[in-house]
Amino acid sequence: MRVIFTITLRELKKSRKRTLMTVLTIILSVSMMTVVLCGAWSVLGFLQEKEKAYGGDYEYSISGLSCKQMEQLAGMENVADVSAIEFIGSSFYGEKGNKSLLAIAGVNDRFIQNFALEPYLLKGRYPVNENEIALSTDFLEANGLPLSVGDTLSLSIGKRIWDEIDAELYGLTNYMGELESFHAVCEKEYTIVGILSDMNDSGVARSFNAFTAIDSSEEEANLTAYVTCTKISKDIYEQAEQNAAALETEVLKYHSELLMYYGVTRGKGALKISLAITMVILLIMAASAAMISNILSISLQERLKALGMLSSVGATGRQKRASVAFEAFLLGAAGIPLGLMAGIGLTAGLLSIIRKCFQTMFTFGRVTLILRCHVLILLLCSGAAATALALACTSPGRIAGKVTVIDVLRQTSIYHLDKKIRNRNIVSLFFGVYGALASRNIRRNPKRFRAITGSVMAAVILGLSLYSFADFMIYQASMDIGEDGSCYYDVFLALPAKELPDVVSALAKNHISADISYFYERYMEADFAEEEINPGMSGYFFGGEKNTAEIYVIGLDEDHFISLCEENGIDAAKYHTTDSRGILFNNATGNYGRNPNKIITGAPFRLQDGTVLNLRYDETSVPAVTIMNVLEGDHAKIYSMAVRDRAVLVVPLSCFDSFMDEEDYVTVIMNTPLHKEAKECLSDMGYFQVIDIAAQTENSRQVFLLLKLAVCVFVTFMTAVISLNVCNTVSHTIYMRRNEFAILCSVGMSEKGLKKTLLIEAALYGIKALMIAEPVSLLIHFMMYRFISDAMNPFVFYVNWRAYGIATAAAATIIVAEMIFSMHGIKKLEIAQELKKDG
Amino acid sequence: MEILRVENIRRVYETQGKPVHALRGISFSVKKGEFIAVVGASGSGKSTLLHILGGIDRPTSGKVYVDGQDVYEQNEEELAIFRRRQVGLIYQFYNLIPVLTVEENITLPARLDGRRVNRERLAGLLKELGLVKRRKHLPGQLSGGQQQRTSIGRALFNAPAIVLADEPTGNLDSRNAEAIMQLLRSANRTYKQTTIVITHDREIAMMANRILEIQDGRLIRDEVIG
Repeated sequence: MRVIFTITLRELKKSRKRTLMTVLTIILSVSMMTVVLCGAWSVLGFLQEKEKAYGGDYEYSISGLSCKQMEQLAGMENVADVSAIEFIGSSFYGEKGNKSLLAIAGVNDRFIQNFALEPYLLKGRYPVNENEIALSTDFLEANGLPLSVGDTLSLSIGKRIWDEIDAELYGLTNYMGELESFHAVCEKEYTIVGILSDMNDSGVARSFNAFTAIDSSEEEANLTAYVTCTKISKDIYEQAEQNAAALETEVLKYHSELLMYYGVTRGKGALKISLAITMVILLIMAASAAMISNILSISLQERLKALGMLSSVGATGRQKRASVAFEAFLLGAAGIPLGLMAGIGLTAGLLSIIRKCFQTMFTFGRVTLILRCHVLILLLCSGAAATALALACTSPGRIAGKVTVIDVLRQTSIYHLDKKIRNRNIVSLFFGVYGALASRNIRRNPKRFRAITGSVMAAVILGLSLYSFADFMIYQASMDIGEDGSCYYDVFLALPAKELPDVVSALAKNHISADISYFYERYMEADFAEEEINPGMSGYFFGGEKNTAEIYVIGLDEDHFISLCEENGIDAAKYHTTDSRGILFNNATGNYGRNPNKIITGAPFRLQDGTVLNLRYDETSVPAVTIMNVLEGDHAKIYSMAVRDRAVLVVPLSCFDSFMDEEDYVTVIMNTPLHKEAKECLSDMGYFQVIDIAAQTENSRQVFLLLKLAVCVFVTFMTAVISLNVCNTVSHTIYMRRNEFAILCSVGMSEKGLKKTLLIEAALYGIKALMIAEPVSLLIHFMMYRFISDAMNPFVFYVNWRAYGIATAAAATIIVAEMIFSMHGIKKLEIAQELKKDG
Repeated sequence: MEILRVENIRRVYETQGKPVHALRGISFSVKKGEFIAVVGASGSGKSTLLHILGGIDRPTSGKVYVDGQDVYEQNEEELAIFRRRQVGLIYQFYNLIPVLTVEENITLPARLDGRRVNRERLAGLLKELGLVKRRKHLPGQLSGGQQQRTSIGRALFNAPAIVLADEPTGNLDSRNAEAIMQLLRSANRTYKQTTIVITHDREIAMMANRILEIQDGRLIRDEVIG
């Protein structure tokens, strides 16, 4: 057997170029698998840590527990840690209002650790007993309190009651004005032990601006326990329910996002996204394994004759198979470890490029994106590569075992055509003998055909699938962005109408110029006659024969209503009347068609200008609105303010006068370049739910640009690897057919004729590959659409045909380029020398 | 009528840095309809001579005229056409195109020329070669003799100026070898097809009417026999 291994080693050294190509392909394929898995694992780890940092390190929570029950819970199955929080109460310092509101939580030390509250501590420490308090610097500054660590603070603690209903206002919701009353429960003096920063980006803790320790002597059951499990698995749900039942409570919430990142989720939407990502990863691994298999079989194919010669001198089948296996082992031993190292290195490089951006966008720098590589990943990649190598040498090994010299010389085992040769086909009709040669050559070696077309198919399918995923995600993020790339409005908040003048003057005082528009918005219903509805969107209507439909009604401030009219070429003067008139944006997206599983977008109504709508709000009739203009199509600016799944009726704000008052909330949207400053100003005023849309949009845009960049880099890398595979396969094919090319030259085929034959062959490979790849890609494209549309905002299915065009052109370029490159070998063809060889 | 004239052709190969003189100034001429056997020891330069005559290998120096035309004055495209129309080559190991059937292999030079295949001529040739029942078969489905007959058919189909055969019977048993030589002889007599055959076989050489003997790249004997 030793001599067999020696021969194998020498053969590999002799065909140095082929050996290096094979090892290089193995390295690249293994590194591709490693990059994908390591990258995914690193990002997953980052998302887990990010969720723990901002949402808390817990898997489920149980509310309504006493301290005793807490201790019981800590000793239950699969419970590693229990963080506890209790709403102590609210307090107003000085005059009641947003600025003076204090929401006090009692927590245990596990809560501080598991909810990552340490970074918010500016001075001092967190309380260790119920007489100590740590509170936010914003509260102290807003109320002009010159207190610091060590000082005492007396507070009247109680409940905020809303609108005379005994429903507690929890945490830091905005001050409800006259609708709210305060019922004091106790007076308490606290020692200030810590000063905290703003906790707006924290999870559970952001509802509070003051913390004390839980009073363990209390027997009341008003603690919420957040459970950190020892082991995270699908059994968590059953265990959690059992634990809650044992504690005789049913209140139970799961930390769905964190569980999703651990792959333990009940949420169908998250599951679908996970499935989509898993599918892509598996496709990449399969493509990598297929390439390894192909490159080894090429290497073995070239040695088939030598193996036949071994037969003639007495080598047994077992010995020849051993030679094949040894070759696979040597190539794998060289390629797999290098591939793993290259993959890890490449992952580290990619992560270092995106780290800063990623961290800033997702976690404001608090969580680090580090390279994570589980030993299972290395085993999986090695295993996949080794399996591919083993499978690749099964067939050649079997052939090698049986092949004789005569078989090889007669090429009976190399060239065979299973199917009946058709004398004429479309290709030979168009291209004559060149077409006949080309079309038959691609069928003569099914394995070679599959290798080339399979590689091209893999490149096209993977590329388009990844692109689809990124494209749909970016589309989701861009739904509220204008054509110039800016969002329609920068800042969003809701506040009582009477507070709007304060907001305007505060912004002016801080030199923040902003275009402020505000509106009331309500869902209202109306009934429609049969001829007034679009039968193609019958799913929009309910209520049987009444054809009742919901319309999203916006009462827009006067100035911006006029602007809206001007933008849409409408005469605003028509609306300056005493009766209510409005513009109907007649477009909605949802499952409204005949097929309830298909999302469509369209005009639900068939209404003329001048139609009178009798609207109802909460079973109460509101003044009738005359529709002066019906506008169809996608008016993205309006739908970004409103909703996409309903038609929108915009009326002047004055139409709402009869049933709204200044205590009612209005939605305020601002356009200002100083959006960050505006948000800070509003937060200082005590508005805690101000959304900086511009900043979020910029974040999303950067994230998705990164996503697109990552996809492009990966697709380029993958295309390069696959091109190498195609190049290898094609050059091998050309090499093996040198004798045949010499014969053709000897009977008068010119170099031009040879090139023509090869180009037709290349075209046939490409066409056959694309005929399968493009429909499969479309199918995956549709599956991606369903996953993402179901999990996030629904939208109508679309196909980015430009991407398909690029993929087609790229596939064609790969094959033609490889053929042309290989034709250099033919230029050096010495006809006489090749003809002397016996085939 | 002179169909082929060779003037002082030399061919030198570079092998591992050392020059190998395969042909050292060979000159001769051939009349139309002659049947010539080229004999010589292994490595004497016979095949090299044949390849040069067939337009496959360029001589280092010297001239080759076929039907009055200087073969190597032509560019590559013209040489390909020359090989298609003026020359028919037959090899020891057949060298058929494995994906083409018997009749497609035979008509290949004509189809490369873009001409319509003369079906009558094809039918006649197939009959003469005894390949009528095998016309749709691939080379892999034929015996050695059948493959060689296909190769002869390909060489003869276009009625070239000269047919060059390099050890056409070297891979065949005696019965098939005789049959092949009879075919070549028949084509020579019937169609006045000028034929040059390289052979080691004395009996085959004696079937020719002229013998050229090559030794160490030189023409040492040019004898008309029979």
